[in-house]
Amino acid sequence: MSNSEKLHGVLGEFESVDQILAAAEMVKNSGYTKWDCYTPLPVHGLDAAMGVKETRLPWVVLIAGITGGALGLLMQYWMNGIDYKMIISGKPMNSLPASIPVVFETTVLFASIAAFLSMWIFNGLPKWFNPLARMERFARATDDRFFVALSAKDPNFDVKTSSALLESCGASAVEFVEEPDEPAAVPTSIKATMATVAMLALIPLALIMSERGAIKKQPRLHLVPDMDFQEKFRAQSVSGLFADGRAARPQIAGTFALEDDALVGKDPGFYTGKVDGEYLTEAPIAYSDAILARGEERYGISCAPCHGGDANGKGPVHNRAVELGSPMWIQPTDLHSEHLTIQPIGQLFESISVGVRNMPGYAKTVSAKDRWAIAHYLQSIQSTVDTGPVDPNADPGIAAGKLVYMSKACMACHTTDGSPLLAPSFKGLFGSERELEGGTTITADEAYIKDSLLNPTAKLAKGFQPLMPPAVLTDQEFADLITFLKSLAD
Amino acid sequence: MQPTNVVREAVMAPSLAAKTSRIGLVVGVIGMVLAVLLGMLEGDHMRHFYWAYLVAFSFMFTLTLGGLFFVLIQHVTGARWSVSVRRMGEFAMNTVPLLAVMALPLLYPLFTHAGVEEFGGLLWPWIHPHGEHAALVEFKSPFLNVGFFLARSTFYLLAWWIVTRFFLKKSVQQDQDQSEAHTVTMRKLSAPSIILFALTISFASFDWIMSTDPTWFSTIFGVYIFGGAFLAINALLVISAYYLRTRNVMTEQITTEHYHDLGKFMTAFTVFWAYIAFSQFMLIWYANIPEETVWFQHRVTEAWSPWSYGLVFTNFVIPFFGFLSRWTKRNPKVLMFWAAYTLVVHWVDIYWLIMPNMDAETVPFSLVEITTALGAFGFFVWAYSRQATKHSLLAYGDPNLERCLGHVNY
Repeated sequence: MSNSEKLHGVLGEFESVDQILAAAEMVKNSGYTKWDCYTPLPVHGLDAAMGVKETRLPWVVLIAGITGGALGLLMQYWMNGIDYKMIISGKPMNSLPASIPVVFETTVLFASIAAFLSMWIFNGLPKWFNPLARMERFARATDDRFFVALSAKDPNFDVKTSSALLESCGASAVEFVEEPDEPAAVPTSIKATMATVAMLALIPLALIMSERGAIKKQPRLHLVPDMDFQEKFRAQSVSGLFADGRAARPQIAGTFALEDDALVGKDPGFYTGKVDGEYLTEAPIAYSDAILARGEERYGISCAPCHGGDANGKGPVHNRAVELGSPMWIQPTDLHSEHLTIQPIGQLFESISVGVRNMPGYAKTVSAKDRWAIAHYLQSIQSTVDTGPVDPNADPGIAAGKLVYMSKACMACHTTDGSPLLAPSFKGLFGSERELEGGTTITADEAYIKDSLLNPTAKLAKGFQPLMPPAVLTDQEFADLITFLKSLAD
Repeated sequence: MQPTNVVREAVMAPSLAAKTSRIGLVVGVIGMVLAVLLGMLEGDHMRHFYWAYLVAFSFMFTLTLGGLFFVLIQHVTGARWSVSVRRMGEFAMNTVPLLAVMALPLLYPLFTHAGVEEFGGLLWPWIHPHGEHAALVEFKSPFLNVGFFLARSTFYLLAWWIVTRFFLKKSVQQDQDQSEAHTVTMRKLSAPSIILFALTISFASFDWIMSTDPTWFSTIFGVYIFGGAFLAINALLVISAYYLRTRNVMTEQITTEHYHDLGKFMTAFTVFWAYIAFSQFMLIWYANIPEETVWFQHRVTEAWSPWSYGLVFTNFVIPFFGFLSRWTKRNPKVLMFWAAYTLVVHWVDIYWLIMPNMDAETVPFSLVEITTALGAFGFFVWAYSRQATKHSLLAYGDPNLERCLGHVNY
């Protein structure tokens, strides 16, 4: 026997189930607490003979299961009801029945993971080394022998009495187990291998992250393409699914869009921006911070792509068209333009709803309330723009004509500063001799301008494309426009 | 801890069995007579009585079929733990003749509908399709017609009678000759019998219970009934074992371990019931197709809604936590309480399945339901316990008896 400081304990070997049960009973009655039995097969009643306490594992599992279920419910409540509201199958945002399967899964997941991990913790695992494993005799614990091991750490342990106890229990052999002098170090080769594997394991992760997250000039690698490119029909594309071959379904005969027709009659001001042909000057929805924030958000989604975040008519779509040098491109309206700043809010609302020239109406895609919010937002940013002092002596016809020039979108192609854009500049135009396509000339008088408005491409100015659409003006608008043109002729 | 010297002998309790069956018969007769009288007093051409009777009949049917499945599953898995309680399962399944007799009064609603024309018949509205859904029901007439219905019902009862007779007879025979060959034969035949069982219990549920609303359909319905049936038979076995225990019978043979296992089955099938019930509900709720949803609409929007929501708690949440603890399952007295509870809520479940089809607007619960339920259960107890006067309560010829008695749960 070596010195007792290095003693791990004492091991007793037994030959049968009955012997180990009797031995366990005796060791328990002798007051030992730090000891264990090792058997090659599950022995019924051994736990009771050893006095092993009931495990606390079920309680851990129960609490983990309830926690998992509650978290699963909370997660779905937050995702579906608060963070990312989406109407699915016409159900309420927070539908308990729809959450149950996930609650069931999270309950089972938490309970089973808790059971697994707690089992490790309660059993003191992982245990890399047990001195018993060095005993030659102990190998038979997996075959045909039963063992009792008393730990030297037990307060009742004594080299003589403990081994005597095992012998008196009927042990066929009793041996002392020693602690190794030095705890064996993990071999360097294993350490190196593990480190290498850990490093290598990061490579796929890094590749995936680079493929998904980094800015790339080449198209990304799509391992699961249908997650990135969902199969769908585009609005004007062909589909074999329907008899008429269209992907977009036409409106069914006899039906009408809810907001546009059915409700308009009930509250025309709210849905058209007009009452008895007069534009509303007060929005039916009161101005508030919340409405303004909503309007800003909706503007950003529906309007900013063309009109730009600053509403100066230079949105990303415009910038892209300029970048590509599109010859036919006409800049979207600068929403700070004077003719818009003096529009009543009802007219802004109408423009958003039914559209202006190239701009489509947004009544079908943006709710009336949101359109009012956008109108509010527009007015709030317009009011920040200084329109400059008004000359009290100026002919009011000039100002009116300028508004016609702006609101009828003449300004999209005709400048007032002499630089030709897609069409001749209005500066110095009125009363001048114009050279036409085909070699003739004509004086730009009222008659010519009237003709050109109605039939713009008939007498085309030399060097310009036939782009201009016919413009219909009232007599008053025409007169104002002429006044305005005359003011530019000087 | 294996018992080394198991005495293989019959456990007979003829006087106790005779007394119990007598009580069952008395309760059965009194219950049914009272139910008929109360039904006649209602003056609704016995409509209420017949619906309550169908509930009671279905309750009995699940006990019998639950017994059959319990026995078959022990054989097909070669179970050793269950030998000591299997004979009681065999008694329970061997009540098919009673079931057949109890089915006879149901012939009346098949052929008469005097006074109840507005409902399309006493029980099954497909017999005389009428009203707005007549065309829908008419469409199903190649399947749902009296002749075919009777033929199918006869087939189910006949099939069950043959299978249950066979398995009881073999088991009793084994008591005499103690031959292991019977175990092998039963194991081989139990597998095809389970297939037959699955098909017949499904179709019987469709025919007898689901067709009380002939426009509605749910393919999982048979599984739902099966889940309840297996729950009910385990409850019945626990109650029976505890009943015998209090009379000092089978105390050695049915140990804590067997209570524990029956309790585990009840725990599992409480969850299974909820799983199936919810599966049926969620698919219908999600798809929201009118002809499917209407069945739940009757149950969750009108007078029945407290029953429907209550069922979630009475049949799942409460018994689940009741059964969950190991202590409950290893404590015969406590387990007996939960078994009795389970049997009662199983009846409530069947009541909830059937009765809204009679009346979606009001809950017609009255003494008629209670007396028919007691009557049918009384008859069942009579047929169930009467067999113990002739046969041993223990399948003492089973070669696995030692393993059963020495069985330990970890």
